[in-house]
Amino acid sequence: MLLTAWAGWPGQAGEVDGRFALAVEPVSVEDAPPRLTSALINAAQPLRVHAPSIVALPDGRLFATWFGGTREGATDVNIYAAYRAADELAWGPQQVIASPQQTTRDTGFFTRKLGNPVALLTPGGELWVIYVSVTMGGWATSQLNLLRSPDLGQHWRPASRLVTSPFFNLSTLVKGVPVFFANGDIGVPVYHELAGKFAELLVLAPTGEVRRKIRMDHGRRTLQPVVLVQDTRRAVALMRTASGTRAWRGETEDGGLHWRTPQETTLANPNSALAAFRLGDGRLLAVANDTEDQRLRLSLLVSEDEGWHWRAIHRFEDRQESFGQTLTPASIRAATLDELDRLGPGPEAEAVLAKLERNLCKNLDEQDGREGEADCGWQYDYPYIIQDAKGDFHLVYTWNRSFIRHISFNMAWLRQRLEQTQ
Amino acid sequence: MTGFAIDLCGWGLLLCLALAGLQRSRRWPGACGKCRWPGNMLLVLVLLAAPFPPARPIEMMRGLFAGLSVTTVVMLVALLLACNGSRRAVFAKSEEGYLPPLITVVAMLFHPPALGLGPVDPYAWGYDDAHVLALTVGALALAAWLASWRMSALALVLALTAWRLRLLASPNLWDYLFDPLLVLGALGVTCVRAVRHMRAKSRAGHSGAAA
Repeated sequence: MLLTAWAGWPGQAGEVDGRFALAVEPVSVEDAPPRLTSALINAAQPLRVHAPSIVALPDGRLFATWFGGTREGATDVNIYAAYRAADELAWGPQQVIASPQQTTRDTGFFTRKLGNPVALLTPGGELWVIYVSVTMGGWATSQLNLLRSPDLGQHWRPASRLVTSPFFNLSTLVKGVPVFFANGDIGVPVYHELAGKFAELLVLAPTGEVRRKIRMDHGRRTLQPVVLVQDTRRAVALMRTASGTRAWRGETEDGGLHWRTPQETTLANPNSALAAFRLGDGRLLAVANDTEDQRLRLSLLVSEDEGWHWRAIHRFEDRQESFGQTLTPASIRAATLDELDRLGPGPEAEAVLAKLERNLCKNLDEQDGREGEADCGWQYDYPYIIQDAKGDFHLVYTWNRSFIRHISFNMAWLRQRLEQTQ
Repeated sequence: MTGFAIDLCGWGLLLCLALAGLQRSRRWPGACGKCRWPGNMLLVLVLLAAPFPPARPIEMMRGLFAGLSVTTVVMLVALLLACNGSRRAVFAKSEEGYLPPLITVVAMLFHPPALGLGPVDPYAWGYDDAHVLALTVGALALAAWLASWRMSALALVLALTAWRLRLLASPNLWDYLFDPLLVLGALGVTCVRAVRHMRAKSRAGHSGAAA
């Protein structure tokens, strides 16, 4: 009985905090000219890359992470990372920060393949990367792992496994930008894919332990939530649809402890990840494939009513005209040649073109890599957006399954887009 | 680290029991009446921790089945004790009869909503505001003790203690109380018993008809 009383005595665990921490307003440069830049982050190898995330470091550098290998779900997929020095345009060399073998050794759990990573800087100044791993089966059987670095990525502690599910610890995946709580806890938007498909918020202590997991929905309709904090109590969540053609919107009024049943927005969504950001004036920005089918277009959109209605203010990528058409490797190559200058620093042009052909065209003759009955299609997806301390926005996304593209724009450019599309 | 040790111990016990079952079966050469558990346990632990690429067997088992609960490990110890001594000294008769179906029913009520069926997530009750659940488990342990279900009471109390000391990687009380392997074991025992019961009933029916 004494043991029971001791075990159940309240107050021994950390207190639940129902208050979000508010983001620090960036130092805005009012008279800066509009600026939008682009760069390719990763090298020509490995063949396939996907699911980038980015974080601004306190010393002004940017840190990006993604997964790459011969194909998504292959056992040679590793988690890669790269840095961009402050005020530089080109990214530094990529490096492997996690592999299946390393994850097995670190965690003591056999790991066969790796998936989505999300990077974050904790309030205590540690750089964390939370990434998906699978032992057996598809993405629905994923688990999460945590990599921590006390010195912004120079050294990494052994990865640890996060226990988030009662059923063989299966089916928790990560994608969205983390949010923070007033008590220092970290809210990681995650989602569940086994049997049901629904959004959740995983709360981690600053020590990296799981504090709790909060269901944002149930059933089979929402994935990959993005949480947009309004004030200490209120936040809106945008979610990828798992079955329909519109993105979902949920909201909380008690610091994320409880979430209202999600409702459909006007934002078209082809079952594809989206990114979003709350501006200082309350307007919401989203970067999304605003189409009902395929990921041929990636747009910047704005909402002035807390995420219910959206209008596009810029197209970062637009190949919508190719919808339903059969493209050949030659047409892919020709169209890309026109675009190469706009991609910015990155691998050599020929390496970009060769990789693109391999990744965008089905039925390519493996012997000589030339076109036969090849059927090609563009793909721009998995956006992730943040704002740095100077107010610049940094968007990363998967460019044609082949490269991680980084687009940076400042507030003046954004203001210009907002005014021109009124 | 303690989670790894507990899992190693649990899988060692499980495989040791399986080995003992084989040794006791008539098909096994040199069959014996009792489990040779110290020797078996040593052998199994060495095998589990041996480096067989791409991973050690214990890493493989943990990867496939995740961590074991404290209750599962206690039950495996109890089964090993029962295997070597009097079953009745370890499990009360009613405990042996009712515990497997009880675990199965609790799991059937728990897992579907915990995996997303409906808005209520019972797994969330096991996180840091789990005092109500902890006190309920304590009350159940007391009730089990009073009903002479000593092994169940011990398992629950040890699970509570391990949870408070955070001995596993999970902070969730449910992960200390049960896991899918315990449920599968309980489900298996329940099904085997049900089949045996039906067969016995059918045999009794036949012999009655013949008479």
